[in-house]
Amino acid sequence: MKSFLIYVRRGGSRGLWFLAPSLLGVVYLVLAPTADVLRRSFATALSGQWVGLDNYRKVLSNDAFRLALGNTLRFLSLSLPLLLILGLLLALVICRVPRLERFKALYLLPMAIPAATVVLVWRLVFSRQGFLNARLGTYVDYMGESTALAILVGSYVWKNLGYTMVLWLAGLKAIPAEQTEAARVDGAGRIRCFFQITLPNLKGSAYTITVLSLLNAFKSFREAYLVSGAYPQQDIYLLQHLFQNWYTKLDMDKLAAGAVLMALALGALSMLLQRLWNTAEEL
Amino acid sequence: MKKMRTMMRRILALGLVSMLLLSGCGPSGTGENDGNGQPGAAGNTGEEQDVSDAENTEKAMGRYVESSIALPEGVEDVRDLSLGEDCLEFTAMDGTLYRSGDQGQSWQEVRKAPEELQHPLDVDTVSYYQRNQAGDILAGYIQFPQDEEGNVNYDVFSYVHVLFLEDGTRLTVDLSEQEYISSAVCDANGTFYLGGSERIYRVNGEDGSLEVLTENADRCDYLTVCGKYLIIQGETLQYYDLEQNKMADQDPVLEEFLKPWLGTWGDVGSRPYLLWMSGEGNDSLFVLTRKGLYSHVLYGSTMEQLIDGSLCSMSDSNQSFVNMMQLGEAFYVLYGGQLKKYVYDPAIPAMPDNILRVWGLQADEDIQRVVGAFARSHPDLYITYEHPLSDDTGMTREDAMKVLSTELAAGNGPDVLLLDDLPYDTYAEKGVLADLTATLDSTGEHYMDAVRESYRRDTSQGQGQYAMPMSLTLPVLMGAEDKIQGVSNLEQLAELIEQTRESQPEGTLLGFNRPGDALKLLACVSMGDWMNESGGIDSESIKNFLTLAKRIYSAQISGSTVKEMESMDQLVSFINGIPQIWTQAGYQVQNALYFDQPFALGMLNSNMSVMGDYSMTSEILEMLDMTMVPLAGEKGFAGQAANILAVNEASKVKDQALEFVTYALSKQFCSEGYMNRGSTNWDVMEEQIRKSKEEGVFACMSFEDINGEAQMVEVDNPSEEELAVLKQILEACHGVSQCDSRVYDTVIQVGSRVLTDEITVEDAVKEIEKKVTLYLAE
Repeated sequence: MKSFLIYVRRGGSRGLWFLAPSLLGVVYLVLAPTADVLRRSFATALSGQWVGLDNYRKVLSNDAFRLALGNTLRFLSLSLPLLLILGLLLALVICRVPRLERFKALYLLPMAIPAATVVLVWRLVFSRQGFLNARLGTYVDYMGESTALAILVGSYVWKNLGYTMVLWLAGLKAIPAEQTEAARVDGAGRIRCFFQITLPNLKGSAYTITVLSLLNAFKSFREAYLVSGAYPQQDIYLLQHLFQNWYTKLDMDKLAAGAVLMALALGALSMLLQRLWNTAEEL
Repeated sequence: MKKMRTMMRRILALGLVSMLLLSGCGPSGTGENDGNGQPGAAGNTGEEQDVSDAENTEKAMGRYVESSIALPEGVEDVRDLSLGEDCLEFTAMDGTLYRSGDQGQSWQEVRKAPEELQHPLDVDTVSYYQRNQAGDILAGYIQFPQDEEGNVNYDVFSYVHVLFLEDGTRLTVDLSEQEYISSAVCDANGTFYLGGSERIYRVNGEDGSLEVLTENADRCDYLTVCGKYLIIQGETLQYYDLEQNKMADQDPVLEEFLKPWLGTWGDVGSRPYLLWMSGEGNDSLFVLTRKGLYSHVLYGSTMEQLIDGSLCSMSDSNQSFVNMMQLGEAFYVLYGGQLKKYVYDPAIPAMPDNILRVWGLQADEDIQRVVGAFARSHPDLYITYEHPLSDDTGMTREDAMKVLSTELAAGNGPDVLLLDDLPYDTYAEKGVLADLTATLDSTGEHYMDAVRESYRRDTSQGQGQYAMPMSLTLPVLMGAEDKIQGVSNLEQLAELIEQTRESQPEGTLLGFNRPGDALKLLACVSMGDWMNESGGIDSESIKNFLTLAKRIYSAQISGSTVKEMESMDQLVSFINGIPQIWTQAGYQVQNALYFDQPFALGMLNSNMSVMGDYSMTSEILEMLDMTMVPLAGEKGFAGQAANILAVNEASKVKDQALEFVTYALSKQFCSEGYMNRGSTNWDVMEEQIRKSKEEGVFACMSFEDINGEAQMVEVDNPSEEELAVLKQILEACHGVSQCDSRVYDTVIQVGSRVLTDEITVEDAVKEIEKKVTLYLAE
């Protein structure tokens, strides 16, 4: 911002004309709607009367919100570490077996499969009349029981593993080989090399990969919605389910307050992650 | 260098201006003019498209205007409409031919039909009747044998097919007495063609002999000649080349366009009518459907709309298409006993400036009729009726609700909302709906107080009535008086059915066999009890309902024979399992007659128009020596509402929207035509009673029961006693059962597994609680 102002003071105001179209776009498509959501979070749904923090109180005391928030956090806390660790392990294996790198494009295939197709496979496998029940000789609706969360986590990891692994692979390739070779000459074992050289060098990539994986985690809602509709098994009832249902029921006031809360939480999480990494890098 | 920079700036500025101009100058695509001043509507099938068309073409002028043509005095119904030389002709039901040379302003009687055709025309048993340009008449009618005393035996009949030449010569058409012919048509040369179940014939006009054109046609409902082609309309469209004497290729555009109406058994009056006006090299057809009048060149790629059905009688399902003609620039459409004329007026806007949007999740015939009638009396208003779940858009309920929420939140919602299956309380609380109290009070009509009370709410906007249903049905039990006297709720019904099963081990007792059907029927009595006043579910009430439903279902199924169960499946499949039809008391009491059941349970409809539910119900009850009693839930005797009308508070045409609502509820509209359900307006019922007293036997129905015995029902006006019973039941109604649609669906879905012994009642209630807890917690 400071450099921008200096630039303007130096007579670069003509550049503003070039910036204007995109700036207008951002204002119209991002900033204005955000401000409108913020305003609505303090007003009634349709009449727009000011109600102060009432909507926030309603949202925070809403059982469905608490459940959805808890489920979303549980899903993130299970799926994110699992994805990051498995992705890194696979990337390390591929690094050691260069022939496997040839199939790099293949690892990205799950991401290219449309959600509707994934859902069809889920149904074929996990429904009461599905393949899994046929194989096990049981009659369980896996998407309607407590197993639903495990299936959702599994699906998320399967879909994003290849992509995460490719990102880790790029990070690994960027580490100078001389460092590891020097450590090995000095007598360091593989595990020590990993913790002392590889992992510290991956900090930059780790931040990007974590944020991207976090964002992708919210896309799992599509599969959950397509399989079970607006009201799935309680364990996979996520914040997006709730927001969508509020929208359908015209609860715009609660929806706006919930969206603001979620944006604040995600923003805080993102900043916290960045701070952690920055601190680690300084050390 | 400076010059160069200036030049570059100018070029850049010019480029930007050009881009801006070009971006705003593209063809609109939807606002094409068809040359007649009517907005082009080729390929325009969606309601949203219609609305956007209306907005884009507000400057376009000219459209067809409908007017009624008075028939000569004493003529109540018309058999056939035809063209003479520059004149219009019609044949009345008694066979008299009338002619008008002044476009229907006056009529002259031309001649009577041959005597043989006058009698069958009178009793409405004619299968087909066709005149050609020469004046020859080809007709087929049903003949019932009569004994010496003149008594008619309706159990046996035969068909008579006859050709009367213009000079009076009578020729017998060479067809079997048992062969049914559904349609006849003549080509430009006056040659007749006949369409039967599979065969299509050409009739030799000299001796009445027949030439079989094809034996492989599908069912034939109508025949139309178009140039050298004969179009056979049945479950599909088929084409016969009359010059090459062989079946011709399909016309995919016409086939696709007419798909929604082809092969329908139920609504015969809505089957499309195709008209070809003879002329050299003319392959143009006029296609009359509920959507309007279209023009299509055979094997062409477009369907061009000439008249928008929503602006005239064409969309009114009460008006059956019989025939259509074009004379000069005007179109003449014959609907049952009414003849309407459509003349192009270039001085009025192609689309009215004001738009009134009526929106409901599902299409409803009664609302469609209100829309049509209201549009006819408000030519300055363009009315659209949107029903996203009935269109072939593949839209789910959630999708439709999201679209509606977006529109309402943006202040662009529909003007009139049909709240069936929509959250009334939410919309009322959020200020979406306008208060109807003052509007309803000001009409001076007498609506049912109990119904009005059910829709009063105390919201943050203040106390008011924010919706009013157009129709109401009430749960009743029918059976012998000594058996059902004292039965007033599901518990007593369960005891009655169980006791009856003990004394009657075999045979059906109530008209259902599938678990879901049973629950839907029994839920009509109890669904109002399933939710408590705080908006949560009443688990105890649901448990009680499922327990009783299981007892009743078990007793019913335990003695039903395989034959009965299969017949019930067929009957429900025949009406596509639509609960609004098979839960009706009239339908259920027919089951009692068909299966020789001791009881029937159904939703009573106070409608008394032709074949209306109460007329039929009371008639069959009399035949079976039965009566009816109301069945109450735990909260009392309540009915089920349909077509729940509400007005969007933010509507830009709020006055017209309120007028639409009062018109839909009015005596003027509800007493005029046939309504599928009973009205919530006492004045409508009084008017129907008055009308029914003036009429005698007005319909009859015959069928074979499950034992193969012929059953004949002659429906006439209900007696004073029967009307008193109806009034008593209606007066006993204490309100409308209101249950959230998600709770209802969950109870039916989970409860069905209780009836088939998959889970216990307790487990079912737990599952229901689990499934709806989230929904209610939101």
